[in-house]
Amino acid sequence: MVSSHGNAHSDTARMEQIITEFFAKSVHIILESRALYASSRNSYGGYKSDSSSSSSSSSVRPRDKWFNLALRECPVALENINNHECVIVDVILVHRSLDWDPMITKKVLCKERYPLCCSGAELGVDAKSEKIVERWIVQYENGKKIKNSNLGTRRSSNNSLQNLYKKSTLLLRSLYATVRLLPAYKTFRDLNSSAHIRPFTLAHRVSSFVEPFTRKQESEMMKYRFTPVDTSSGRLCLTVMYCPTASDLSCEQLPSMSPQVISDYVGSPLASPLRRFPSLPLSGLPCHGCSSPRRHSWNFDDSKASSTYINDSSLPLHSKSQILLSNTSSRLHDLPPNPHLRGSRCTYKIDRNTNVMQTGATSEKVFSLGKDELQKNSGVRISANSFPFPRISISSRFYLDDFDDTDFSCPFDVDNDDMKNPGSRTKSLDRGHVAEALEAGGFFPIRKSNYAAVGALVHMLKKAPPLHQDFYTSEHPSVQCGGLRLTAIPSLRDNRTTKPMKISVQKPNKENLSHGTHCETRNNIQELNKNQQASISTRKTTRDALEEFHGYREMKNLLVMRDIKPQI
Amino acid sequence: MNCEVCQLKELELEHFEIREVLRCILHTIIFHRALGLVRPKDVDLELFDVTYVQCGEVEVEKKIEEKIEQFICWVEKHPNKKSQICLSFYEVKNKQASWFSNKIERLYWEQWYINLNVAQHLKSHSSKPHRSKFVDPGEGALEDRNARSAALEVSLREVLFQIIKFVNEKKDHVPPIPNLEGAISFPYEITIPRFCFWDGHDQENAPDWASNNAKLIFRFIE
Repeated sequence: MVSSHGNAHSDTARMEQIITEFFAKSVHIILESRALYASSRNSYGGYKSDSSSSSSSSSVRPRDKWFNLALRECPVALENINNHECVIVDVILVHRSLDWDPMITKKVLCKERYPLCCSGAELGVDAKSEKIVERWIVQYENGKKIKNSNLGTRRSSNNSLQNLYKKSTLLLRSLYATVRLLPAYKTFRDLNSSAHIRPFTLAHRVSSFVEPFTRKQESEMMKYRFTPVDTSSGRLCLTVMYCPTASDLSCEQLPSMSPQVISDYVGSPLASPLRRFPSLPLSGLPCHGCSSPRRHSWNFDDSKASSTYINDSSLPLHSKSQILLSNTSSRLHDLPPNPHLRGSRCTYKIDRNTNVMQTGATSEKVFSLGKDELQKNSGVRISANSFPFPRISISSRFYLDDFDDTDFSCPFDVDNDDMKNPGSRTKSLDRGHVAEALEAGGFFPIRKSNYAAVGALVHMLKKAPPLHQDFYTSEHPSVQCGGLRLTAIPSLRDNRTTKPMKISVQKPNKENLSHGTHCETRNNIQELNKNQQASISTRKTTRDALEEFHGYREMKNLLVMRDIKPQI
Repeated sequence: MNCEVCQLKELELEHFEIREVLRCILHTIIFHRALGLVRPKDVDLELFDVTYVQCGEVEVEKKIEEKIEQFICWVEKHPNKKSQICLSFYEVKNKQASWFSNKIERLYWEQWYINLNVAQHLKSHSSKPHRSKFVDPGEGALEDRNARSAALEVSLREVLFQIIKFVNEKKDHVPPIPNLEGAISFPYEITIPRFCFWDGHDQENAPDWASNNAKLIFRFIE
């Protein structure tokens, strides 16, 4: 008797423990997916959908073993719930007013962390802007005893407890799935995981006594009652009332300020190239043959020395060595001062705040360097394909080897004066000649100009001799062509002489004898060279053209026969 | 112990939606029957605005994926037909050993029937079936597809609530929770029918009719 009495006490105690843990677990499940910032880190409930998070079995907490449901940390839910007869959790949608104060918002959010019992007044917002979107009622109804004749036996009581525990476990499983299917979960997810700034938030309230809904409120809400779990002395009940549609939660009606990529940021190709910036003084920015006072690296101007995006393909690079302008830009500090450098140089500046790549240079200054200096220093290639800080790569000076004009300074050179006197940087900036270039994360200023380099290129092209003049010189009388030495290929354009144009094709002696081809000597070539400076406008007679044609045919036949017969 | 049967609402879906829909339903059911220690895993569907819960067991996930692939193969061979997938929970009972056999008997205590009507709508709009995925279906077809997708999402939610309701209302037939390691407490099997048993109309007594009239049932036993 005593043992049965003792067993009854233990069974009652165990049952009460199950009921207590049931309350705690159910509130934990609800708040885990409704209380903002209550869950740890960046997850909104449950574990992340990856196998790693679900495989660790070593971190099982004692409370996880209750009902075999391991949940994420939720400090709000760990508050002691003293009343184990009725716990009501209200999920509240709080609308911020148009002139909401971030400080008030912060206060509201702080309240949300530990809102064990708080009302709209405590939240510091107008009560009219609150709306209860969900109400969860966890309740233990006493006094409804199960009619069971076997309750007295120990085995039956064990079975009863096991049954209670099993059914509670099932109920909590379905509760866990249900909270994720209701509309408020979407709002919770959006608020918890999104970086959007929304004019509303979710709050919650855990209490034992609440005002019942009005008729109107009840009519707007739907109710779902989970099947109660019977115990020996009562039953566990779980009910939810919720707003059935997302529109009631006003998730989609209110505007949100989401981070957006600004494609036409200042300095982008989409922006106006002529836009001026207050931070960059434009006065006195000399431009060689350029009409606009400032340039960008992406502006494609004509042959003038203007701002032009420079890439490898546009530069007549003799070699390709590129040095990324990064922390290695300190190399330029180590370069010896260049006495030949002119006063100003081309640089560009990357303004981190405005994502602007500002360039300023003058082609005159740009082309002031001589070849030697250019060979010592490095050019810079700007690639504006990275956002927001374009990567600046330094290419070699090679493309300036052909510059004949010593006044043509290196566009990507470091100003000697500025190296000596960094203070003059500002002065030159005022003149519009110089701007600093800073790569993202870089710290060393290097001066260069895109359009100045393009100007150098254009200048070189202008100064370059015509192709046909360079082809034949006294130094290079002939070119080897397939084993044949072709000494002259007349240009159709070059009719400087009335004399017939003859093609001198000189072959090795053996081939001459074998093919029987007669080749002219170099006399014709010399004569041609003398006449190269003659008037181009001499008209060709038909006879000349015919002779020329014959010459070509002979050459062609010679080449064909040469290809057919193997060389000896 | 009786066997509780739950016939889930029929879902009309397209081929590309099969995987997600089946994952959602199968995992939801198993989560409610995985009464061992569970670390629930929330999964968002890509095609629908629905979050379902997995029990977190890798083996379960793997097995469900295998069955889904087999079902898809079956659907590809039998297009535009209604189909049914059965998820059964059973207990293992050892039959009395005899001279000739030592059979293990299975006592099914719960069966879930997932009814799907897989239809393919877009291919009819294109004269080049091999390019049906890339041919612009046109505005009207797109609207139809969106409408079907929205309707399917609503239906899917109804099915999930149907599962929750069934789990809540019927608890007595569930066996006691065994003291086993892992989340899965009760053995289960997923059955994909070989032939279509339906004549295009809803069958109220589909389980009985299927068991009595099936010509061949191919079971994929774990």
